[in-house]
Amino acid sequence: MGLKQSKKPIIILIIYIALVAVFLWPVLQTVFLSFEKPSEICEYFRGNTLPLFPKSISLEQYYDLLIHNSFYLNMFWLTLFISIVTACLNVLISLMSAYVLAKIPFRYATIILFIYILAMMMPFQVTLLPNYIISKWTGLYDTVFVLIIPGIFNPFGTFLLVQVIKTVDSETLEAAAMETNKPLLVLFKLVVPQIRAGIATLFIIVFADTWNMVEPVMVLTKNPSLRTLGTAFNDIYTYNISIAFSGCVIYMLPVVFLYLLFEQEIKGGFSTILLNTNIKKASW
Amino acid sequence: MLRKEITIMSRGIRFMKKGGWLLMPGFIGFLIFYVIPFVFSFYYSVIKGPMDHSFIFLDNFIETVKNKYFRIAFLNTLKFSLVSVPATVVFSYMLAMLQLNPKKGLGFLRFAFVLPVLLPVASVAVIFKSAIGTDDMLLLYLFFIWKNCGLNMMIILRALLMIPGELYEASSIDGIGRIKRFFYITLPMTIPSVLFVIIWTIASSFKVFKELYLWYGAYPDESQYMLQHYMNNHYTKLNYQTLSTSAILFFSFIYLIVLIFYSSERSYSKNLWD
Repeated sequence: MGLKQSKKPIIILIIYIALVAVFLWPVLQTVFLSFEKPSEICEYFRGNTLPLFPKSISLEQYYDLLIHNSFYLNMFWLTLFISIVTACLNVLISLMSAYVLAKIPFRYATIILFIYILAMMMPFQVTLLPNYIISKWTGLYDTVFVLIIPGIFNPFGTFLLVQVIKTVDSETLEAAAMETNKPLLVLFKLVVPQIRAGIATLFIIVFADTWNMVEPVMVLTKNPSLRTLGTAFNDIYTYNISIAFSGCVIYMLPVVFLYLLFEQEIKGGFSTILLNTNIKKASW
Repeated sequence: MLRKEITIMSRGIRFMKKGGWLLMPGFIGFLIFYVIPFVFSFYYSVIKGPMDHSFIFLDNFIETVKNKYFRIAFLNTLKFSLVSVPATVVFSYMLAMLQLNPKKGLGFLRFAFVLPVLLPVASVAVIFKSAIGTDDMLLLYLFFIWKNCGLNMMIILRALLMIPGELYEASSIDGIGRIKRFFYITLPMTIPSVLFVIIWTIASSFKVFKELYLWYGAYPDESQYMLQHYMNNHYTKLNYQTLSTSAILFFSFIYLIVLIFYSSERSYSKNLWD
């Protein structure tokens, strides 16, 4: 196995690096062009071709975006607040639900999980209008809560964590359940430490999802001060194209930062799996 | 009769004592924000209009199916899914296999594949279009793969790493070739994850809209007119009956697909473990 593998690594390495370059291209281009002068950006869009590197380097775009025009910055903080709160609470709720569905056997577990999967796949438009009606009823319409609360109950988290918690050894949990009748204790002391990678992954995904949210904001709020960063982008391309790239960079930043923050955690999860199995064995 | 109710109740109490109540907050919220709206939507699709709540059963559905643009949108979405889902899943699988070649110090490059999943569509769609330079469906396919393969790759990679090493040891003793080993060990062991990835990708393929909207607006070329356009345009026109009806039709279609995959996954894992 080891011998056979050493024949090809150069080719595989080249393919790998080429793929990385292709995947990163649009992101790098965005970052580079964010340092271009706003007037040049307008020129590029008129000519319909975008170069990889800017002709000149300036911070004018960032100045226009962050200092000259403070409402983008306000949007940034609001979106950050909404995303963090939603992600934290969604992880908590998902952990609790997933623990029951994965580890406490009861009759309706499969059917509930199935309904969760269906809801997860439902396109946003299916519940667009009823969500509006319900938000009016509950008095959540046009408040910041209407952007947070539905996200907390998004079934994706439960579904993901059910898959993860299923891999946790059942016997220790049962033994622990004999000792104590506080399921929360079992969950947080025994289950959570073993699935940190899964939790970190879910946190990032929910955060990114909320961070990118556009349609609910349009439908469920009308107060301009509740506009999130995602909604601003439709306008940026039509009215403020000159600062679009710096806007994109600022928009990407928190998600990238979060990924880097959790990378160790996710990698840690991977390496514990690696210790149990032998990675080389699984390769080609 | 009474005895039956008592057993059900005691079973419920036992379940709650074991920690079943942990499910309740999530489930109640889920009912309020996901299930009840769906029931509402369903109700809207079988009544005549917002003013006249008379029950007309299937008339809305028949009218929607007869609509030319609904059919175009439906076929376009279907065509897009049929091409993009296999392409994305196969590509993700290959990417995950590529990750297994442990080159020291290159692990951080995995970041490049995961990044597009997390990046907001709005921030990359426009630049992606200019980087690719084409204007036809290829652009959409490439964007879809670029955007979705990262998460799939992580899930498949996880499954690949969970395969017990003994299986490979046994196979090398038996002298099985690489290709056979892939089809007899690697692929079967990762099938549950692959099915999950397929379901997830199908769902995403139905949701392709934001990028198209940014590129071509609410009324693109007929070949790129998706179900999401259709529903969105009816929403902005306040045409709620059509919106609910097409949404329900769309949903039933998804439901059918999930049902097929879900049952095949269950029967598959049963065969695997029994």
